[in-house]
Amino acid sequence: MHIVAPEVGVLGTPPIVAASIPIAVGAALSASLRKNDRVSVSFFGDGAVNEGVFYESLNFASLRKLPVIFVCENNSYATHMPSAKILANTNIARKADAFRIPGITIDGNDAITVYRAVKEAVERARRGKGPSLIECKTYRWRGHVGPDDNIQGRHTDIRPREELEKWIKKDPIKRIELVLNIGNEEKEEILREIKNKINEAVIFAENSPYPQEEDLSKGLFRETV
Amino acid sequence: MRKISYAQSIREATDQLMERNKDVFLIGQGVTSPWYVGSTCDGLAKKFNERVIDTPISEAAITGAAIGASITKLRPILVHPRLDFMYLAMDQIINQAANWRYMFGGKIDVSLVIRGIINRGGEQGAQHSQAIQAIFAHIPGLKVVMPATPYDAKGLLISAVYDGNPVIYIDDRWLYRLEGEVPEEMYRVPIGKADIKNEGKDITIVTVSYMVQESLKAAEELKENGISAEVIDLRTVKPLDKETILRSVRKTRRLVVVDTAWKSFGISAEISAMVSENTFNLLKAPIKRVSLPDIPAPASSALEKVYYPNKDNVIKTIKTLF
Repeated sequence: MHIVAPEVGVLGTPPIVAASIPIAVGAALSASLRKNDRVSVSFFGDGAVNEGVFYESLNFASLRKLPVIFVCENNSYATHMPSAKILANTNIARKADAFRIPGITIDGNDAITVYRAVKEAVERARRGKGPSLIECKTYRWRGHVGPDDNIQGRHTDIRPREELEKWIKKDPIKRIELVLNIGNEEKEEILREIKNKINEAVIFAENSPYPQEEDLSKGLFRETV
Repeated sequence: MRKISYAQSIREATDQLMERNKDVFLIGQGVTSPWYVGSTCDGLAKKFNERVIDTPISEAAITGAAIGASITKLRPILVHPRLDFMYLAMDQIINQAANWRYMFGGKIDVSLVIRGIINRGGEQGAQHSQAIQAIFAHIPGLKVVMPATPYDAKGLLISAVYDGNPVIYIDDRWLYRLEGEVPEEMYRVPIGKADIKNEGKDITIVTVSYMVQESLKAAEELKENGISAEVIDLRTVKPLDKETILRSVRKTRRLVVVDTAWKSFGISAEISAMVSENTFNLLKAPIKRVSLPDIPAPASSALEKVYYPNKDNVIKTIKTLF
């Protein structure tokens, strides 16, 4: 949440569930009006498909054949509620049918599968064929928030330990390692690079000063020219 | 100078903005239908084709789409043909549009005009009549403008589109036929600047939108009673032009605030508070307010007559202060 990096196309990540879905549709509307080949991708969870704006967005995007890809990261839980307790129909991909959008369910822990599905959706969007819905089945190793792991019998008491263990075995990083066919040395090099990047970011954050009182209103409005 | 109506003035501003700047586009429910937007968008769909987008009844998604277009550097004019339906888009307007820039460290502009139309009277009842400017004005990150004349309608719309921030532009169908002088060329009326529509020395009337017209009529009639009323048209509700209001009140030492919305917790309350914070012990009389009663809009025409204030209510209230 709260991540933004417009220089690489990350336009914002608001914490209100489903709120960014129509905004992604709007970014696709921009591409469509400008007739460039940009494609917009909206990421959300299984909980978000219970918000009305999700359906409004799918309808409008399909109606205007907008270049947007709806990616649902279905990790089986919306905060503390398992999918079956919040969804009358747990097949999220099929919700696309109602809007004449292709919808598929894939193994979200298999990077190659995800790549292929998204590539096809991007090509489709660029051909002017409109949006796609991709439901990626995955799992959260950590709890919804904070340090708690949400294991049954502990503080938040949500999910069985065996379920988590089963999914840890499907670790997408381990699986891509097998596919990539790289030597140990190269693998160590990649891991070292990533670790360094993270360490640098942490050091940067820790060494950065807190904002000053005069920064309180900073960023609220753009100065009008 | 040439005279055109308030509705024609909005239409002309939109037309010129779209003609001048390819990034400006018009989107909203009913933008191709006079049923929804009167004559304010006449001919635009024909002229600008795909840059005029009439939409499904999906207030939240369409508002979100307009935000998405604005953060990818287009300049949408989003139309909500009735303020009452904007409640369905409040997450997008308040959580998203108003906060986006601040929350994401000032890195992304939300250059968005949301045009909301007040459409009331004619027995339309409680869910087809509301004036909710105070709700928007309460929110940090939004600007709120409410033109009361054809001249300001055009100039404020142009300023709103070029402001670079989310601007709620509220127009009132009761003003659509009002004629006034409007330059043919493009011009801006600055956001955040009130306008003294009538100079006076005995009392200040601070008002907005349709009630500016009623207040001007009241000021005219009050002359016969020897009362000289200064009429300040806010034009911009937020940011509030405190200086113009205070300068006038320091001169007249009396204040009536005339709003088109409910009395409690609204614009009239804010202005009364702001004036008493700044002019304590200077006033010759208590501050008075003319507004809607704290009651939903009635559906009966008999009750509408007592519900909506007019010049007579303004005159009556002012007379109690002398």
